[in-house]
Amino acid sequence: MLKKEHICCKIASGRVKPLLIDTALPANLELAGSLLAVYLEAYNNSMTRMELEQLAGNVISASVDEKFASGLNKLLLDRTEFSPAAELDHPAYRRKLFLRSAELFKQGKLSAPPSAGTPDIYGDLPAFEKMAAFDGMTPDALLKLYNLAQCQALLVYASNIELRLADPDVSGLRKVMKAIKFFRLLAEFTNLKSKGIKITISGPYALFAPSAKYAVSLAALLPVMVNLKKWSLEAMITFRERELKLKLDEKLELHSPQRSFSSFVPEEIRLYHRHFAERSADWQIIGETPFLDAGNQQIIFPDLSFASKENGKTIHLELFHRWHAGQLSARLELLKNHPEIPLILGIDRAVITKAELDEQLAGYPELRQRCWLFSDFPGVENTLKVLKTVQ
Amino acid sequence: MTNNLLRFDAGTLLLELANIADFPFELAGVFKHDPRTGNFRARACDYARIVLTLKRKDFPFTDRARDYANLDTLVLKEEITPHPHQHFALEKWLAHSGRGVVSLPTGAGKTILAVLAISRIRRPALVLVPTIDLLTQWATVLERFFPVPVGMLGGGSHDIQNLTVSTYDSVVLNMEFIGNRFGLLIADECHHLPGPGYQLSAAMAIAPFRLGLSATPEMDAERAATLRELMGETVCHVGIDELEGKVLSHYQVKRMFVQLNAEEEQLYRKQRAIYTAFLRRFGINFASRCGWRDFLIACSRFPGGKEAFAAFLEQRKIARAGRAKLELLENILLSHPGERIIIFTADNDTAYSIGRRFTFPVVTHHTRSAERKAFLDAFRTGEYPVLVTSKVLNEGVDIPSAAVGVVFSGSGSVREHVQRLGRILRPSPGKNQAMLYELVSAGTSEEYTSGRRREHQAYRQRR
Repeated sequence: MLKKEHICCKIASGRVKPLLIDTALPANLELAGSLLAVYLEAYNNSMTRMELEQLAGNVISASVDEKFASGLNKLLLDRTEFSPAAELDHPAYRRKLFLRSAELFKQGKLSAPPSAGTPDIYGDLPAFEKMAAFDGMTPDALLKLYNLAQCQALLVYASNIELRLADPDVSGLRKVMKAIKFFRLLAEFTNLKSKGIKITISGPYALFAPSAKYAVSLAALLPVMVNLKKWSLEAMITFRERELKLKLDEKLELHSPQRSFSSFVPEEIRLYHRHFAERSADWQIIGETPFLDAGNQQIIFPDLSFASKENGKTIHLELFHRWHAGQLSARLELLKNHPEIPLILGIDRAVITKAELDEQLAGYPELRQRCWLFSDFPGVENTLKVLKTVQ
Repeated sequence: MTNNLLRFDAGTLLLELANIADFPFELAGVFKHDPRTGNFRARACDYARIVLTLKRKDFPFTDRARDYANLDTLVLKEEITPHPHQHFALEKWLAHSGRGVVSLPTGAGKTILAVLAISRIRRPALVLVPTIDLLTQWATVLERFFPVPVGMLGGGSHDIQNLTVSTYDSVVLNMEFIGNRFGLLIADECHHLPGPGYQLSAAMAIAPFRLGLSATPEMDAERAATLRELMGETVCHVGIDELEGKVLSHYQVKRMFVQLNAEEEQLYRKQRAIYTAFLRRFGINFASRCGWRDFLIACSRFPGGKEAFAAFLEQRKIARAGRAKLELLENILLSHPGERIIIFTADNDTAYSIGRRFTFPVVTHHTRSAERKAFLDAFRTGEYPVLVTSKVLNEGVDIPSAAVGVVFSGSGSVREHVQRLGRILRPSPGKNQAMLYELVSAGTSEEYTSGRRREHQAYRQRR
């Protein structure tokens, strides 16, 4: 993500417009290529953060537009991981020296300045960390990512956004809905009839005061939106102490590095996938989760789908966290009437108590077996238990 | 059980009515209709008012918002005999329905006051603190006084218990999940709370009982109003002079001026001329609210900006850490052999350069938590008699054995300066008088900075 100092925009008549770069311009491609070469060189030679900064700094200061170059550098830095320097056990080394200096001080003396050639006692500060991983890309992809990041950097100052879809297709809508749910945002739909639909997206608390709390989540929706067909987005942002209108649409030709939202896997989901694969002999998680058409214009967007290794049977899982508590009653009613829908439900304990769930599903013992309660995040063991019951 | 539900939803409250016509209009100013979910929504911090109003009018509803039970059996593991000022503060706070801010000087026992408040209110309590050092410090104190597990949120921990301590930063991300699990919210160093990032945390909690604690509650009117709304009125204020020599150590403050050497002075003047000429050229005034922002923008946009910014950094570095200052520090250290000394700097670079020069432990935000704890423990026991820090130990950290403080460099913030003094004021066996040195480069902008930060009662009396 770009920071405030990297933003390039034009402000006029209460509007803000990101200044995007020409991704096909040879000079831009050359600059992106030079920086990428620096990062690859640094990675191949396990350079320190300080060495990398110096090398990249040379390219930045030699560039015509330093702000642009710094922005590209920031995006590459975000794709880099560092690990502590391992040559010396610095904490142990320090402790030995500190004990000696403490003894001297108690005798009314001070340690002499360190002599040349002795290891730096603070040689494990971040500046000395070594480059451990780098997620490289092509110069063209870096420039496209830069344009997207410029728009996201402005969206970080929004408290809500209005997305208009002129010709919404179910698949695109599903991705948007899944992303909204994932980022714990709320959406209000307005049917614009022949002009498509408008989706106003914000966080629960945004009803009371504009809040930057949801801004990063709103900005994170952009890569999903740019994959849609005919889209436009409007947001009021508070930037440089002014209220400004930001408008983005498909004409900007923004590109998302993630072609499908389902390819973006957050850490907790990644861990869940790993534990599931380790512990389950009978089931596997399906990569692409389809949506379920429950009829009567009811569409269910499951969070995960599982396939039986034995017979290929597919079961979907929908999670109800605290922030979509309002939709649980409707889903339970649907499943009471349509037990054939292959859906199991994981429900956050904050949404409903065990006694309340038992009461709501009295008379539906099979359905009760398809629901379980969890705290914060559903465990793999409970998922497997319910899958076994359903099978 | 009724069909009207009050529910906690991501830091807000939802009122789900069986019949929308039953909406209690006494709460029209609190609830808003939410078109996104089709029900009524209120801020979580209005929970007490909502429940009291609904109960008063016998409105049938099921409270599913509150996710905690009273801790009726909670007792202190060891008895506390409060100091008179602590007893007074507690009674004042209780008289304000367990809601309000208490202002006590550093070292006056705010943590103990909070322990007493928890034991009287007997509700699950969430304590908010600004730093990881305070996180572990508070958890240790709560574990000492209460026979229940104490959870921690922040610094790599995510353990929620009925008594939990969290950093402000961690709770920003988590309050929407845990905001209904505590009946008492305690905000340590609560002057941080009105910040735009943090205030939402208190607004997203339902806790009816709220205790704000601060040694330096002074703030502008807008922030003061926010704090009042979230935590309540200031119910008790005790000044540093009321406790000096009783609960707090006697102290002395010595401001010492040093002259830059000829070479440094020449370079300082040269760099300052470049930077101030740039300010004049673009009409930038640091006294205005946007001065610093305007300077940064001008530096990035206009010719000469890069040089002006480099000159600004260079002249500041000379003023903050000239050679003469380092020599004076050496003399101060030698005049207190073996004493527990804490050295404060304005920036990490200076802290590490002092640490390298004298082989002293340095605590900054880069210090990993295990080593930070080890440094503080060794300092408390006297194994390491000197500790260097930039800003992370400014607030709250309990190091009573520190008798000497050296402000090697600092900002113009009164709050920072008072808090730094507070680090050495805690009483400790054998500590007769605390001593704070303030090192200032004469003839530089540091003189003005020093003057600004001393605008507090704690310093005025020592001039």
